Amino acid sequence: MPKTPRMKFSELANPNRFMRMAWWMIPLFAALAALLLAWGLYLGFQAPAERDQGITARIMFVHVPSAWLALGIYSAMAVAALGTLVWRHPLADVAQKSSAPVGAAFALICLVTGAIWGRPTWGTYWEWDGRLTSMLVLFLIYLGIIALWRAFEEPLSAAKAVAVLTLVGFINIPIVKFSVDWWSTLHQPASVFRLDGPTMHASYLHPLLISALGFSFLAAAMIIAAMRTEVLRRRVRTLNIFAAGEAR
Amino acid sequence: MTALHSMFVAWAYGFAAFVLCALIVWIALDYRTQRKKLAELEAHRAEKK
Amino acid sequence: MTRAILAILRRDLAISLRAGGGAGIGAIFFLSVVMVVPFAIGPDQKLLSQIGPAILWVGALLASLLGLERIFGADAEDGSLDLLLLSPLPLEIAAFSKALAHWCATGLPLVIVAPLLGLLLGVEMKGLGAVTLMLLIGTPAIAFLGLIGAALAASLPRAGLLIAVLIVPFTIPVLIFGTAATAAAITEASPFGTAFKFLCALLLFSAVIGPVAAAAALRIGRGA
Repeated sequence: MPKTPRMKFSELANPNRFMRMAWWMIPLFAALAALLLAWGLYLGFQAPAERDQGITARIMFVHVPSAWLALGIYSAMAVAALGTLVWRHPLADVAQKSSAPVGAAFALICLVTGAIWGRPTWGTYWEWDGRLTSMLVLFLIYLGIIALWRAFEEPLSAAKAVAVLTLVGFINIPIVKFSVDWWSTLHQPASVFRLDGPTMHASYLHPLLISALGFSFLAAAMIIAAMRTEVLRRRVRTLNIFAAGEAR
Repeated sequence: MTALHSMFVAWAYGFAAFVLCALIVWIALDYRTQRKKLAELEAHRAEKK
Repeated sequence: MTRAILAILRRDLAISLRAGGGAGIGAIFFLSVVMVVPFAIGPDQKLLSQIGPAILWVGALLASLLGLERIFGADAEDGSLDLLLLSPLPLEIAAFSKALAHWCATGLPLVIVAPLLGLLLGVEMKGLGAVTLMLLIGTPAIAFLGLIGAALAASLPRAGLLIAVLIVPFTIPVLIFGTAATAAAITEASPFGTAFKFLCALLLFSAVIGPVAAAAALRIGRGA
């Protein structure tokens, strides 16, 4: 019988196999992240100062990848939520729980670096601009998910409740994004600032893509490391319950 | 002007580095705590047997 | 099926209207929020009448979030939630009727007192009508969205604040289109129809997604 991808998928689901894979994946991804980030930022700081914004445009190499990752990690969490509810994959909720703080951290970095970038370019730290506001809402949703995880005692019921919330959030985020864009264009018709990817000069585009890849590997390494801890935490919990049962 | 701007760049990169380092330290400490707890529990069980 | 829906509506309304049911508390909280604002920004009548509709919206949103944990909390405690899960009535329909009953008991009073509170803030007549109408459409949308949070936290003790934190990000579109439609109706500076239609669309959308997601959360939470 040929080996189907489905079989491979279920092999991945085995926590022991995952723990062995995590053992080499974390250092490999961390090393790749360090190399790519060093290379990308080196290229970025070699780039000539931007005509309008001067050297502050260099904030882009951390700001833009953070925005992509904050959105990308949320999408991955929505897939993991489906994994919990539909396929009942045993590692899906572990991945979902471990991803939430990493996604929240990137959303926060995106917000704060955006605010710092806004000061010299727009003359203000915060602008109720569509993009900023929807990222702030995404950050709030991340915090809500983390809060819901912490509210439950039992990991399995927490996993299912959080999965429902994540999926509802996934449906709602485009609506929030749309309404916020509609709202901010109503307030200020001219968008102060836009980054049109393809029209960007190569001296900026290349370091941006390289550092985005580096940040992605960093996020992957952090998520896998947090997942490994989560598997251990559940083992500790099970052993404690056993110990309590034996003591009786 | 440029000096002021490099301040902003430094702040942005500094903040990002701070958040990421804090997250990494938190993940590492959490891992160490859980490993320690697990080792203690297993030692306890072995002792009983 | 209609009889079952009516039965749920009648039961939930009776529970919330009797002593300790908390139907009027939301409206009193609404009054308190609106009363606090002039103290915070000063007795400037012109400024107050300008931002009055916005204050009413924020107050109504906060007051709607207040009682959400009551929708399923008491039912989860006394076991009637398990009966709902076992009954032949689809859980989505049951959740819909419970949200409707919750809105009649806590949301409708907010809409009714809104024009009176608007008078306190010096909102002109046209604005009073606009904000009341918009609240009539917006508060049920908030209730249906809040239903999801209530269902997620049904098995949790002291879930009130958690539900509010979970739900606020999702109510932002309602707030945006509600205030925009209100402002458009008052100043006529921007087209009223667009925002109003979006608000109605949000109500219909949340009336579907709220009960469906809440029913899923309840089934999962009860291990079914």
